[in-house]
Amino acid sequence: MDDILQRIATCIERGKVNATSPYPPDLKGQDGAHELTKAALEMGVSPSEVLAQGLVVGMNSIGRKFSENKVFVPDLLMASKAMQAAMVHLKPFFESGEAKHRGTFIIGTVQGDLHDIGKNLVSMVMEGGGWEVIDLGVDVSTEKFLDALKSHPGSAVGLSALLTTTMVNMEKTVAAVRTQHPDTKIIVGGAPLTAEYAKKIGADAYAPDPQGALDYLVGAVA
Amino acid sequence: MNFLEVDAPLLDGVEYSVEFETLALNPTHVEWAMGYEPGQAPDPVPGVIAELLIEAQRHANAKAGVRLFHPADVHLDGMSVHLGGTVFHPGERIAGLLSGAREVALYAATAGPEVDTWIRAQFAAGDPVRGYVADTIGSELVERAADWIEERVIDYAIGLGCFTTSRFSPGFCEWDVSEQHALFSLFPRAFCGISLTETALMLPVKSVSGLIGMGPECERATNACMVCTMKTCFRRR
Repeated sequence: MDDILQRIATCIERGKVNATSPYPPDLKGQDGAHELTKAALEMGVSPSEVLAQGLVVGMNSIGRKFSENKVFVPDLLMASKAMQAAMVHLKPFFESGEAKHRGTFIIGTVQGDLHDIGKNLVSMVMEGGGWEVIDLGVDVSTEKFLDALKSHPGSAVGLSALLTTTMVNMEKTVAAVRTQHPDTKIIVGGAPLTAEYAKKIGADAYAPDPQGALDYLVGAVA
Repeated sequence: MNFLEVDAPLLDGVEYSVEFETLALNPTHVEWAMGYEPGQAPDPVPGVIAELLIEAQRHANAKAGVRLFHPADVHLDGMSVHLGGTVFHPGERIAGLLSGAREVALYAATAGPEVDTWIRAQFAAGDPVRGYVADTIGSELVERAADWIEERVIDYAIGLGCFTTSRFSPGFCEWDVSEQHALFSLFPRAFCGISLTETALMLPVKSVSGLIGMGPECERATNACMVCTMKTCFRRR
């Protein structure tokens, strides 16, 4: 069992989607995340174990290497693609309740800002880390964040911004979330942000990279 | 559109079209921009870069231009930059680096709206790697268009017996990006086809703007990132 979970983790980390995928070249012709996840479930490995010891291990490994500048955005995107291929098999178990997410994470790029690459990377790493992700997209108003929290009570929230002019819109959203949902964990991130600014506007944490967001939330809910 | 001939004077307020071939963007530039050393990007990234560079040629519509401010209209006080009646507050660090400037060139450059549309289409097609490579190509196209106009400014400065500073942009270092509005107020309307949103985001997104100082004592920073205080900037090297 451990062997197949390790192989799933390797496929996720290296972006090996399925057997027909020619990448990475040294795994050409071998099963990928798609086939191995299916096989693990058929062997009787529980969906929760596949998630925790396969997908999460693989995404954590690539996420950490990304934080350390050992790999770059395309590597993370390829890992995410492999993770999505594995998730197809786990989705029915999440829907039936047999497998559970670590929590729900609502994320969006704040109002006035159209940049979404950083936000999407965080979404991928969070999903690979076992979180249900509600991605509200870009140019997201405070009201939209509040509506999403109403629909998904108890969720954590992530706010992204790339511009100093839109970063200021975070403060309004953080204040509104704090007023209406005081226990919500709020993470902020984006190029112009700092830990000091996050503290100043009342966010719980500043994440310098996707893995930072995941590590914070894993610690916060543990 | 105008094409600047070798030895032709740099014209104030004129938009120049910059041919894709002139930008000379190659796969190594794209790999480097994504963080990889040359030849180190994993498969399938090199193939995607090669394919999308060919496609980008069909969509690129790069433009660039400058507004030139002469000594009578330039006043620097170590904290702010006065160009005519417009005042910029780029922060002490940038203002210090501009302190020897006698003349200032404001520049704008864009890869063109078609590149934005093309990038969105790549993401919408469902392969985020292709989307990200296209986005990186767009960023590099506009940076190289800015390099092109900067080289024209350097030639112009040499003609005046001056050197140039590095390029500085709102959003860089301590310069608040909201001053894009003041900067664009000094360009002709819709200069190079660029407009600003209320939050100072340039449209097309793959556009850049800023200023370059010129003076006998001016010098370029060898690594602009060493000047900048934004330690978490995604372009930091």
